[in-house]
Amino acid sequence: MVDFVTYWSMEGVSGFFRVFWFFILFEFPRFIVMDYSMLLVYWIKGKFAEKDYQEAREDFLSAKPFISVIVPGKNEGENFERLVESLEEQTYRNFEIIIVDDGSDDHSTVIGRHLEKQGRIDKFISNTVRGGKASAANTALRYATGEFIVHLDADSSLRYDAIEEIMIPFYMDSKIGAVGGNLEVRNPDVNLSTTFQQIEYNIFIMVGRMVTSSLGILRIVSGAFGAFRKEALDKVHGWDIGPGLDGDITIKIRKLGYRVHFEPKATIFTTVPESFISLAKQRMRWSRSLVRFRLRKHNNLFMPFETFDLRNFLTVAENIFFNFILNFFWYIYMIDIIVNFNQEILYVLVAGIMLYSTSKFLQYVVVLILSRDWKRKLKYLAYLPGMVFYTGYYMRFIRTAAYLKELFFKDSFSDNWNPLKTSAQAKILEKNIERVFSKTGS
Amino acid sequence: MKKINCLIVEDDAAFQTVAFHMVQKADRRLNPVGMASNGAEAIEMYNRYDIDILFLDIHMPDMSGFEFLDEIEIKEDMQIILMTGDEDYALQAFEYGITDYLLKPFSAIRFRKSVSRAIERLKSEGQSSSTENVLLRKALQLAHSRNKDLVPVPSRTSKLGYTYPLLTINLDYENEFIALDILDSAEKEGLLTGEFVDYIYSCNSCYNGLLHFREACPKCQSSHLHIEDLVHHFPCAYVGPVSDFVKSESSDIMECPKCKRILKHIGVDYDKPSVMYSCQQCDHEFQDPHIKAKCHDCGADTRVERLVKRKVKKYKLTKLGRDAATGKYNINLKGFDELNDIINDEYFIRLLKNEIGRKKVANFDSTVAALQFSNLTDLYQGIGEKGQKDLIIELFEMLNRELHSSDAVIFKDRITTLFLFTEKGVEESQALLTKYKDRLAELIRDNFDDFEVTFEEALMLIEEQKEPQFHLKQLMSSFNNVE
Ligand SMILES: [Zn+2]
Ligand SMILES: [Zn+2]
Ligand SMILES: [Zn+2]
Repeated sequence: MVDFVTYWSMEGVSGFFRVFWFFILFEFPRFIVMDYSMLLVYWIKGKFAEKDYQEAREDFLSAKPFISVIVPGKNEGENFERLVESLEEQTYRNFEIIIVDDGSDDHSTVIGRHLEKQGRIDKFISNTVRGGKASAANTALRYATGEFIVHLDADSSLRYDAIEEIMIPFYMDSKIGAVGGNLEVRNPDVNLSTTFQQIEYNIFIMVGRMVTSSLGILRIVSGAFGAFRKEALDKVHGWDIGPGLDGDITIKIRKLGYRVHFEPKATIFTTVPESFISLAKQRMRWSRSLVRFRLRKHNNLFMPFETFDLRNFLTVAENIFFNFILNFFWYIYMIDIIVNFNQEILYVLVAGIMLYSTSKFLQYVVVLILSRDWKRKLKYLAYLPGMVFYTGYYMRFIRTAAYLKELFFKDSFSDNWNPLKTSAQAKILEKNIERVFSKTGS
Repeated sequence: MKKINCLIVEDDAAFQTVAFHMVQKADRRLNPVGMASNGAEAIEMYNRYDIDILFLDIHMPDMSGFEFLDEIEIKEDMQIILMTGDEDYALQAFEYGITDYLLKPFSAIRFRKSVSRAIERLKSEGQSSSTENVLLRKALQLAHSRNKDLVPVPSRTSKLGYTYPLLTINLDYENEFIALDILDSAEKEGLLTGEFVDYIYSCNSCYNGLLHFREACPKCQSSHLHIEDLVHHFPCAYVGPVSDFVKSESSDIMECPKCKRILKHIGVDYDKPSVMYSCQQCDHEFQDPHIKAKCHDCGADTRVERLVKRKVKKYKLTKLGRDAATGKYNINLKGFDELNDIINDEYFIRLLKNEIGRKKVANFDSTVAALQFSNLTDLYQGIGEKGQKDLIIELFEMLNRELHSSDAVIFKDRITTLFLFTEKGVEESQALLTKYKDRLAELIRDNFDDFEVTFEEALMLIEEQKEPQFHLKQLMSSFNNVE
């Protein structure tokens, strides 16, 4: 301990900079400085914007637009009841519910049909052949009649005022084409992994997206809970194939000149993986999409030709730099530390944990300030040192693995379809009769 | 389950009740259709019903039990159980060919033994000349003499779509469906063995088996529907009906409205993951149409779930069947028109009369109640004659399982049930009635797509100075739709 203090007092400020250059150069400005600047902007804006908000709310409630809530998914039947229940309890009621079942092989179809018969959902569309999430969302979009589309994941449930809150931004700014909602973890207290995820969601989704949103460079409207102007979706012809379609459609909408907004008050609850292994699998899926869609598909964002827009460029650049380039750069930093501070590695490690814990603490303070239920979230302060390992190592390794796999093996392209036998129309009736009879048959 | 009609002739009101309960408990098949307290009443009831077992007291005010037997035409297979306090009539009873002789007071065990013996003998002596028995006997004789099986033959002109030449020949078009009922019960009786050939679905109001099937809109029931395949274009994930992809009416070329590419081969760059219906009447779009069957005989248009589904079998005669064909065994099919025993308010009036008599001599409260299913007719419209019968039988059997043994239930008509709660006040009866209502509603919900049945009810204490008819009128007058 004494050695530790002596070491760092000898090294001084310049030594500290030398060791933690990675943090000071990249992470401190990106997370701490930005978070607090945003907080300041938000606070100042809030001072003047409150009236706008109330006005927009009144405009929205008197316009009473018809909304289509669309829910694409596969094998999600067991979640329908909870989701529909939370929709039935909404403060805003003028919407239809369209669930698209994408080739489920469980009882989802039976459950969905039953809800449709009961009149609790308006349309249940079942694609017997799996076509992927984008095609399921597009099917729903094709039959949606609302002025606005709210896209939901089936495994979530909404806060009672979520639909109302996600709609208000459209009435604050007519240029807004899409609004992302806030995701909270429904099962934070199950075990360590879900507690970490709760903190992570709050820091990176709630605060992180508020930062990018207030800078005008929000890059993703979450598919778990996102609202869109129908006309904007129609112009981009809906979702494109593959993983990462949420980020993809957000970029496309931005390219049309719409603004994209994040609304922290619009809250849904989602169930997160309850083990570190299933969590790793989920994140592998998420991370791979970054490479594919930022680098391969939207590379024209880097080209200063045709429709170059600085904000769109920054949106993508920020994401690629901080998630992708820095991810690999970090290993260079690690090599630097191991090679040059081989003898003092223990001192560096301990100081690093202290530094990053403080950083997490500063970030979490912003979460608490912005949360309506901050009292409940106070207890998670105790887990912040653990978060250093969770985000610093666990998540970083998963990301690295995913990027490498995607870059060198094009993993996410190995998504194939089952060819369908020609379906003659005449056979449909027969099939229907058979189906109904087999239901009643004795 | 076949019902065995019983008549209790007994002048002592208290003993009449005891006997009634004993009959009810002795065997589920027993169906006490009436109770008479004197000879004249007994004769009237005997002539009205097809009595299988007669419980007879010797001492009656207007005539003796033997005089009663002289008065009536005794059915060949009827079983008579004498109940008397006097041993002296045993010999005389033997001359009348009675089944058993019970000396009062007798134990429930003794009674049950006597009843089961009567049921046994009833079975072996069973002989009836009703239409279905005659038809079956003829068919069995033909099959036996020609050494043929009873084989269903497909036929356009037959009501069911299948005909059994040996049997159907004797039935007119409207009644052809009875053939299936007859063969069914004959198989249960052990006269035939059946082997599955086919299923038929027939109209639930007229049993017509040649139906016209088509899809209908679940919102407005219109069958004017437009059906289109959905197309999923793989490269851009666009999904829409085929018409979205049609470029011009004249060409077969399909162009994706999203990415403008020309579709090449199904299974390669696109597929058809499902179909979509759109109603031309109300614009509703859906995937799960109702399937309806129209009957061109009677005009009924019903959802296929409500059609009558029956097995069509090929039958061979058993040993017993051949014995029946050669006259060595008498055919007696039962179970036709079961509703006669269920919808029977006269029976209820007799019960009520009996209860009023009991109340005159003892001090207790008894309650009568009527329960009306206010919206059951809505359900009846969709399920046809056969469905209605099955539902009423099921409701009746359920109520009988729930009911206390001293209480009674019967249907007055197809939507009204009558209850007698013996030695129970209104409050206690009300509680029971509420429980029964819950069970009835549940049974209907479970069987008919969450159909919510609604009830109206009326209860009243039995007044011993009033007639049974008065009680019934009083109960029925509380319903809106009183005639
Ligand atoms: Zn319609
Ligand atoms: Zn296309
Ligand atoms: Zn008919």
